[in-house]
Amino acid sequence: MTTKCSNVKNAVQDAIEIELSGTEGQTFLNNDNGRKGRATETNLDSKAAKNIFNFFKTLQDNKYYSYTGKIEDFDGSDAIFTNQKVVYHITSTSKIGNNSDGAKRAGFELGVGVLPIPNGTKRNGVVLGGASLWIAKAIPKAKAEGALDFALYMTNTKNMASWHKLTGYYPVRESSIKLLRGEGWFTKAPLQLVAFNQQTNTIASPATAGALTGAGPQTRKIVEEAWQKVLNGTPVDAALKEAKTRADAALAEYNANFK
Amino acid sequence: MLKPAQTTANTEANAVFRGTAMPWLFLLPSLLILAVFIYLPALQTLRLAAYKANLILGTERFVGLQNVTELLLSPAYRQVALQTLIFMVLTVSLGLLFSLGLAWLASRPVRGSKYYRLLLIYPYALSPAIAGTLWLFMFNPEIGVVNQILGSLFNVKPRWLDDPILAFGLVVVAAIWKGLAYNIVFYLASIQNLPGDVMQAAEIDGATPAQVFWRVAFPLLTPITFFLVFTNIISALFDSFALTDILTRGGPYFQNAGITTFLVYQLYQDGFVNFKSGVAAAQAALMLMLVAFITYMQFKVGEKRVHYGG
Repeated sequence: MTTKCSNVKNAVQDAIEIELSGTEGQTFLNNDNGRKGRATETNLDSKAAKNIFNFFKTLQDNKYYSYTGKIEDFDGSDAIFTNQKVVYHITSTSKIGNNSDGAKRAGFELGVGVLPIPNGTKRNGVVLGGASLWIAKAIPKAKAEGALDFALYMTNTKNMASWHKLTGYYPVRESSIKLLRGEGWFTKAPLQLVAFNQQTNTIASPATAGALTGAGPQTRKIVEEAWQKVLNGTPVDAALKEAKTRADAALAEYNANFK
Repeated sequence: MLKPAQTTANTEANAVFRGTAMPWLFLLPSLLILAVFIYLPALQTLRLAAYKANLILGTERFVGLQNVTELLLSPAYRQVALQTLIFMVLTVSLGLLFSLGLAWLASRPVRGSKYYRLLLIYPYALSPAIAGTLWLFMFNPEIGVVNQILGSLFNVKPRWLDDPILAFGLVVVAAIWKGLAYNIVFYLASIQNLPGDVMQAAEIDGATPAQVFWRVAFPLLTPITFFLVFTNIISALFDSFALTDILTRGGPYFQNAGITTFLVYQLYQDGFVNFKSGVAAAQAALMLMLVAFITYMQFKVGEKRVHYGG
């Protein structure tokens, strides 16, 4: 069997951010990923962005790559992997449980590794992806304080640890990791340790803090579509140029809400 | 409009209610529910269409007709509208043709016809979400049953979900398949109610089976065909949502937009994924106009072309 890799489209956006931060500490957006001031531009034309697109293109050209064709198809990608049509599967940490079960049913042993980075670059770490909780600005103070109390309760050490065990999502507290370690969780679920180490070893910087933008889902879809175009034969530079134009327009449209 | 003139004169004599307040009182509960869940939101949508608004931020800025003009000038939205039109024409015409053919065959006096009819009606019982998931896994390029068969017979594995032409075709076929059962039920019932003496007379006069079908049965079926054309148009416009969301997520991207992104899916994307409520409301207003136009055409064509017998 040829060594093939399948990948969930959702991971592409994250992978691009990781790649950007992993290679040159490159941010996804200008203004320090939108953390110094409101972001106005994406860095989709950067060398680092081209690097990761070329990586996927090389895989595709050598027939090492497979996916269902549908963007963000978690179940379809898992099915390709657990049916042993590919050897590597790039997907969310929250999918370790499902894929372990699938591997057990199919009778093969599953391993977990860190995300790949280009040769000759320093590993800066990963950008957290996935669900997050926000409290809106324009709500009454009493309501906001209630929401804050609830958010703090939900993310307390104990609750975050059980949330992780239940879903595979990262806990947001180091104290939760300590609790899990004390409970012997990583001996019971050693595959989870890779992602934890990858996260805790991440070097804090605007790049690894992740992109702060109100046009997030739209930008992600634009990047996924550009990546799909590359897989279907569009040159990397052309696809990224178009993606940058579209993503910057989406960002400008979002920013216009504040005028 | 359709009532003969003398009915008005009889209304007073046959009146069930005394006074005008009573009937309104009985209508009130329904009107209240409609007002809260249909009319008021519709009016708010029309208002919102004139604003640049963001659902999450809660911001609103009056822009008048800018949302609508931007949509009409946007190459992406125009492509989505054209795709929707092609999708609608294909699913309605091919869907009705297949349904009529299958209903005609299933209505023949053959052994086991009851079972055929049952099987033909069965897909109607599936929810669009389940139908979409079934198709998604059948057409998974690596492990789907379709490519496994094609791979072993012809050594080909088509990319059903990211080749623009194939993906569009797949969604059309899936939508036709999902709609077949509904149409077949209506056609079967109508075929069974065709006047037997007229059909027999045609056969005795030496008409071939094809002539009986096209010259006698088909014209007699125009009322039901007419009804189905419009229900199918509405379903192509609005019910395509679940199928495209699950099967392709509107992709793959082709020229200016995802090739299986149809009007209602674009609206959902802008309203509930990108949170641009104003733009989404403007799209809803445009779709309202489209439905109004279709309804107008329904009555206009209906009066002229449909053969109601008698």
